[in-house]
Amino acid sequence: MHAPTLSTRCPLGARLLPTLFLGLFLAIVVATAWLETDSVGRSGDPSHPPSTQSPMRVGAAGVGAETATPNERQVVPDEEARAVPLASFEELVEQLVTLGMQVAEFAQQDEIDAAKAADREVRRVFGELMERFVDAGEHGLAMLACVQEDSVDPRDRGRCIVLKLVLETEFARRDAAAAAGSDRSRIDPLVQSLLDIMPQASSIADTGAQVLSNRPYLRLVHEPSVLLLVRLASAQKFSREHATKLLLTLWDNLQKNGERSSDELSRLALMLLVDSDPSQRTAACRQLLTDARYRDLVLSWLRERNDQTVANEIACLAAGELPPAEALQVLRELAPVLPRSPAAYVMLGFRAPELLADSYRELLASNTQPGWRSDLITGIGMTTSELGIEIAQLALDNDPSADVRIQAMFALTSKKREELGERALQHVLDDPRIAQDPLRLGAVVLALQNLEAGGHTNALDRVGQRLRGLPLAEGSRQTLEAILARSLPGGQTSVPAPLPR
Amino acid sequence: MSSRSLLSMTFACFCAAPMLAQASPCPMEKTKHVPLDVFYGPSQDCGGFTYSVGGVTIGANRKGCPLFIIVTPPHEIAEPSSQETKVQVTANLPISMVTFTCTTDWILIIPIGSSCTLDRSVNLGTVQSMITVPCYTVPPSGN
Repeated sequence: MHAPTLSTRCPLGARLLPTLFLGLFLAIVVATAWLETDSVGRSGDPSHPPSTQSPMRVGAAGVGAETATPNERQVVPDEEARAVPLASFEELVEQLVTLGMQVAEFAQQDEIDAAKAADREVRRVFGELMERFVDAGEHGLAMLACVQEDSVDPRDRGRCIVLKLVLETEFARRDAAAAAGSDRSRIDPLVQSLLDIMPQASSIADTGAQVLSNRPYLRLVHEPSVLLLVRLASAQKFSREHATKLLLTLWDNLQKNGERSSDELSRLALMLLVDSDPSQRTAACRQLLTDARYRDLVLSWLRERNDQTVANEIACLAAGELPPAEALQVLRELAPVLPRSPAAYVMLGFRAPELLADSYRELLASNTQPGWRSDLITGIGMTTSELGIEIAQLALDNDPSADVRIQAMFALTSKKREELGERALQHVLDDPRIAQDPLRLGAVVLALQNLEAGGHTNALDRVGQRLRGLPLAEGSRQTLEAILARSLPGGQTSVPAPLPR
Repeated sequence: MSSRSLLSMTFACFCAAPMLAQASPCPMEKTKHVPLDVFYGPSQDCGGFTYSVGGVTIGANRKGCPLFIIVTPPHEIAEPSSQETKVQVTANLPISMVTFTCTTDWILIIPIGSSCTLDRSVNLGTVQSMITVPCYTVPPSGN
């Protein structure tokens, strides 16, 4: 009996369970299919990230699935119609200009947090621009070519700054890609296009020169265009300074990249040395100075030529680029042509203060070449190092030349330390060769201006009193009185000055 | 004093004048004009901006802030002359040095100069303004 009962109940369960599982399975399949269809419809447009819309829509679908029939769902407008068109390159540049001006405004008003926030937005927009436009360089050049000559509109100026940044980044990006893939087909034409539009307006020339000078982008293929700019400079149709910088950069790059050997460049330089074009002459001189075999030749040529402008240009190039010891030698050799070249010595002073200090100590010990000693004091004394102060004080106290002492006085008064400046001025006035010479006293008055710039009123009062009693030239006396009038109440010193001797 | 002595003294004075003039020889110099020179020192890196795309990191630093500028005003120097002339200093002119500092390092795009501010301006030396004058003044001819 038990067996049939069991046999009746078992077939019934075996029939019901698969039906239930099948029903449940079908329900799951239908629900999943409905959700998937909806999800595919949302992410079809790759230009619109799902993250901006998905959470709301998924939530709505979920709620609708549980609580309402599909017919009650609201109709969602087509995504294509809703999409906001992406900003063009030009629009993004204009946005950057506006943001950049806001940053400047906030910074000028010391609203640092606001400026930082605006700057973060600038960086985000700039990043978006560079990422979206693989041809940002071409777009940038097209916009740059439309910049008006001599525009006073601050937006034009801002636009040039933004475009310069775009070009700098684009050139760097393409140069890196070119180096990685040994293919310059993306960067060389862009450089060429920039060179082509540079003569159109001074603002374009400025931007181009800043982007290309001292950078590795100019190559042999660009030589004709650079030489064309040099010729335009000769005809006064292009900036001489920019033409020279571009030519120097081109030659540097040719040598670094092996497109032209040092020997070839030196031979070319020898030919160009007598060229009447100043840019080519400067480039030739610089090339020959870096080659020890030709250095004496070019120095002798410069001395014979006795051209202050060229000699000064070369002195500054040497001071900035040659190894310091060689640069110092060049400056020494050029001394007969350049009786005064403070810039080159200051430049060298910043690069190699120890070298200048040692040279000065040697010359002081032998008491020779006071003119050169004076230049060395200019170079080292204007640096911000403690060594500069030490050497200037050494010169002030021990140098037998009144002119070197005067140079040390300038160095010490230029520091932001009142006691140093006052001591230097009083010390030189103790020297009768200075105190009785109206010309040298004129230099002392000009050094007094350094104390004025530092706001050292007490020192001005004391030194001013003393200077009033000395035999100043008329012009120097007027300068002194103007300084005292600006710095002291009523221009009166605390003790009446003695009558001029 | 006899008339003979007076005559000798007059003659001696007459001869002495040009001899005194010869005692300070003419330097035979003239002025040479040197134009204004503005020298821009090395640039400081006023902050920077690093941009990374496609695995390439690019530093688009703005390096437009000079450490210093040296301005040498137009002036004169002496150079040899074939004429009997000398140079005379008329004024001392200051050579000035202007130093700059970077005030902020986080601003990316601003008009040039806003983050590169003038620190101070000092005189670092002098040059001279000169004129050329004849060594000897020609005495006016008597009527």
